[in-house]
Amino acid sequence: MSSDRDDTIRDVEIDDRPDGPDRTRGDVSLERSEVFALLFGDPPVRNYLVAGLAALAMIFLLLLQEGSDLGGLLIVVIGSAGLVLLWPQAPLFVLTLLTYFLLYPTGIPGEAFEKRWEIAEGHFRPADLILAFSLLIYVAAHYRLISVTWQALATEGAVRRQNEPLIRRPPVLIAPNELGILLGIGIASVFASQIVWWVANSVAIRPGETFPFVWSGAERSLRRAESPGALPPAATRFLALTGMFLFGVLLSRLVFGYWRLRSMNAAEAGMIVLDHGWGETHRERSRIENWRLWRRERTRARDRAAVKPRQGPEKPPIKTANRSTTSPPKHHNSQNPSHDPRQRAGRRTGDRP
Amino acid sequence: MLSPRGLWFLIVVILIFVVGAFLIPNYSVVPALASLALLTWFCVEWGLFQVRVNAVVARLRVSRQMLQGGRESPMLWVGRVFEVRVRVENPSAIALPFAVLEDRRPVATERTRGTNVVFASIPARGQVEIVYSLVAPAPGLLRFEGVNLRVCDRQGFFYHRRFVREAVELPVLPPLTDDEGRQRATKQFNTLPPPGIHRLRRPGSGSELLDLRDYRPGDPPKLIAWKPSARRDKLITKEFESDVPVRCRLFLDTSESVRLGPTGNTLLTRLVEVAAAVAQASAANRDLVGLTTFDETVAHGLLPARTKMHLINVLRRLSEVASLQPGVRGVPSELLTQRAFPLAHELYPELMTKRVNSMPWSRLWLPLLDRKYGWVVLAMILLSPLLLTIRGWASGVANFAAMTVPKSWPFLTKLAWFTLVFLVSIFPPATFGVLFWFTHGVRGWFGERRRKLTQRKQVASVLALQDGSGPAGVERYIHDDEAYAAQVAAFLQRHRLRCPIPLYDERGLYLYRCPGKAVVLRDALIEAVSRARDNELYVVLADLVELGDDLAPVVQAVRVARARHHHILVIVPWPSDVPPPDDHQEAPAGTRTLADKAGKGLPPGTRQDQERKKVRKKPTARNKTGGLAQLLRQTLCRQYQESFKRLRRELGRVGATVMRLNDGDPVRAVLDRLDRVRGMRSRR
Repeated sequence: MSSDRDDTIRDVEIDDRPDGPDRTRGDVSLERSEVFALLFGDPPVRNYLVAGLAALAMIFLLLLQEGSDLGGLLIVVIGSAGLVLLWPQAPLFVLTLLTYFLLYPTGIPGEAFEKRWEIAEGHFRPADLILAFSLLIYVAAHYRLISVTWQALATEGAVRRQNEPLIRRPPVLIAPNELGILLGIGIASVFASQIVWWVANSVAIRPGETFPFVWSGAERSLRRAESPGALPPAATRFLALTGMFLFGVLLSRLVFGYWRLRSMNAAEAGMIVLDHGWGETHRERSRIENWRLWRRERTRARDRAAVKPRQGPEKPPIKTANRSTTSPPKHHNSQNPSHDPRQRAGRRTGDRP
Repeated sequence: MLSPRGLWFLIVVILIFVVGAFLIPNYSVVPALASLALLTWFCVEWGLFQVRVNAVVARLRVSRQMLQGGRESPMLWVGRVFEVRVRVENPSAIALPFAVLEDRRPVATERTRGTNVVFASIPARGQVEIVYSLVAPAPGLLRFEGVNLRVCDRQGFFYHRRFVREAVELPVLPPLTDDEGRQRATKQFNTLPPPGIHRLRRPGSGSELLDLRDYRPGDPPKLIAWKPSARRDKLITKEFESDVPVRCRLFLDTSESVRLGPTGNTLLTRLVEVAAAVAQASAANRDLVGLTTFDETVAHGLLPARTKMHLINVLRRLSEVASLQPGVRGVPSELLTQRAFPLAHELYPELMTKRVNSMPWSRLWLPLLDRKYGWVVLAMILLSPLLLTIRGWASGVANFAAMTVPKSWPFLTKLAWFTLVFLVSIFPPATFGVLFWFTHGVRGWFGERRRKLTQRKQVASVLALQDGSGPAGVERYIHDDEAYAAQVAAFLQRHRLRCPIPLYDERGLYLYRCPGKAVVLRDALIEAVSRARDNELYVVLADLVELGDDLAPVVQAVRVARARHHHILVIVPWPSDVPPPDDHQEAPAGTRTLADKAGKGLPPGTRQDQERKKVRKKPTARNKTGGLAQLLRQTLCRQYQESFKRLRRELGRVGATVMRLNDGDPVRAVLDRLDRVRGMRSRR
């Protein structure tokens, strides 16, 4: 599908495309009507649509509760349009809008209200958990619908080629328990993120202590450090989150990196060794090769200058199936520059007919 | 690998997290919580994807079956549909929810049923099957490389591509002739011996009476001719003819001149089809048939035989040579890389990633000293300290540097600025030289050169890994165009991919005349003559039209063969876009034919001869309307036809029959000649 073979992989005329949206193929682009038929007519796909719309509805309600009715309405409109009209960037706009209207509930810039104990009380609040969970479900449902109706697999290159088809995930591959697993993962992710946020805001870093991490609880001042020598809460939060992130990256890299090494095949391992060996020695080898080529050209120029008249071509040995060769075959360079060949009729540079 | 969708998602979420966690947490913690939840979910999906890639994708196994005629077959036949069944097995306990499996089809095949691309989920300890039907329209070798596997997560954030290699090569034998093709010898003489034998004028155990001689003690009584014995009053013994089978030897040209063209549509393919039909027809007549393939350097022979196994070996040999590709002599290395790089990227994706096959930035740097003016720049840099010999130079530069320092700056900043200005100004030629060196070298990091050099290095690494030449091989293939071309040609040949090649070099010489094959053919013919036992038929399927004066060895060999009473039939391939030579076409005015040139003393095909042909007399109305391209085409066609006529004349003088491949039915012509050999009688 993606190779540059122009050597004519010819297909006879086969019309494999069934009538209507094909649930088993993923390389056939869908028309708008077929997309709607899939979204509203195919049960597994419809489940995702319903989940996304329900999540948007919940976001609207929660924003309404926060006093941001305009924000909720905008998010619902953009999110719904993105779900139905297959707008891939819709979730990112929804995220941005949500952040904006949480900061400015009325939508007017500058009318933000600072809450002194927002961080201290912002742990495991049901409304926050539900909002985060709804957002996660909406984003996941949106991208999964995009994968089913438009594109699942990324294109080979950075830019999609002209004739490269978009690969989508056939609806027939949607498992019955997929949405349930997504809900479970969503709940676990929300709780895990809440725990991380809570820990990051409850730990105090005292660099002078033997063990610099101290649990200080959530009742801490906003801007002042807890005690002399300790870092202010904002810096602590930054260091804690960054440290947890780096530690997680390190751990995952350790685990998956080692696993990838274990599953590496011999060719890949050989290439790594070869590449490292070349990387360490390529400067010297480059000089050697330059010298070798210079020497070869010089030798050939000398040979050309001293060439004698031809006495006839060499006689190559004959090989048969029933007896061995008497001497190894030699390369016969028989291009005779004294003959001007007759140009073939109708043959241009490239392949012959 | 992260897809663009995943990358943008990650960027936006991280941005919102940073804003929510560090800039506005006092206003609302929900953005931080929500973005952290999304990040956690993203990490979970990434972890699950990595688990699937490492546990499942790396352990997939591929097995393949070819079915033709309802049963598994180790070889295929041209024109017959065969079914390909590919099984991808997952031995691990983890399922793959979505994968795109594509069985890479060989070139020059036609799909007749099914599809070679499957969208499936691979269950744990399960398998997925790809079933489709193909037909090969031309003989050769089909190579199935393996299955191209692409997986992604359900959201499209991550994707991974791997090629599960399972290389299988299958010969595609030339088509079997039907009953009509199995031509039996027609009976032309009443005393025609049974098919597969002809008379040899030597005593033997045949059924035709050869001679009568005197009885010698020990002759069997049943051979006594009683009537002549009674007439002569002494015992006379009958001698019968020896039945000797007719031998036909095919000499097939496999040089580069007949390999040109798209896969499955070359002159060699057509010659192979004729050779296969002749071999099968001869075998059906129980005649012995042998095959000798020759090119510019070497000839491979199969001695004549008539068993079924031998016929299969002949057909296999024909299928092997039908897939030969022309060399890449004269092809620029960039073109070779353009051809080899996508193929390597497709078949060896894990070896072409930057992680394992990298190009360091230092290698892309353009060395200044590779240019002659680089030494001038170097001299400028090295000789700059001589400026210090000028009295007051250093102090003047220091004063200038001091004047440029603003007074309001802090002390350290002023010191740093002064030092910088002083160093830049104390040796202006060195400063200019360093800047020039930098701008010259850094150009290698950008542009087309970087892309080409990186691709060539990556291809060279793959080639060096395959041939075991190590880092030295990598460097050699980067520098040496000849070694690189040879390896790339072998790489493309191994994977049955053709490369567009130039037909002419920079001097306008045609690169694929292959005159060396005349010598090889001569030696093969003479060897066959030396092994021959009786009158044999030698069928030469070769492109000899372009040889010109290099045809002398072939003429010599034909003369030797004719001297031993063998029959020679030469079948030359004919380009489809050239009209037959016997069609009378008017040559453009002013052009001269070979016959016209014969008396001028100029050897045909020389540069002077071609220049003379360019001289035109008064242009006719036809030339005015034809255009230059048509005029050139007609001239070239005429030249080719004249070359063929010359070939036919020269070989005809020594007793060989020359015919064109698309002139009538060459297979029928060969079989008729075999009949003639079979029914030939020597004169008493």
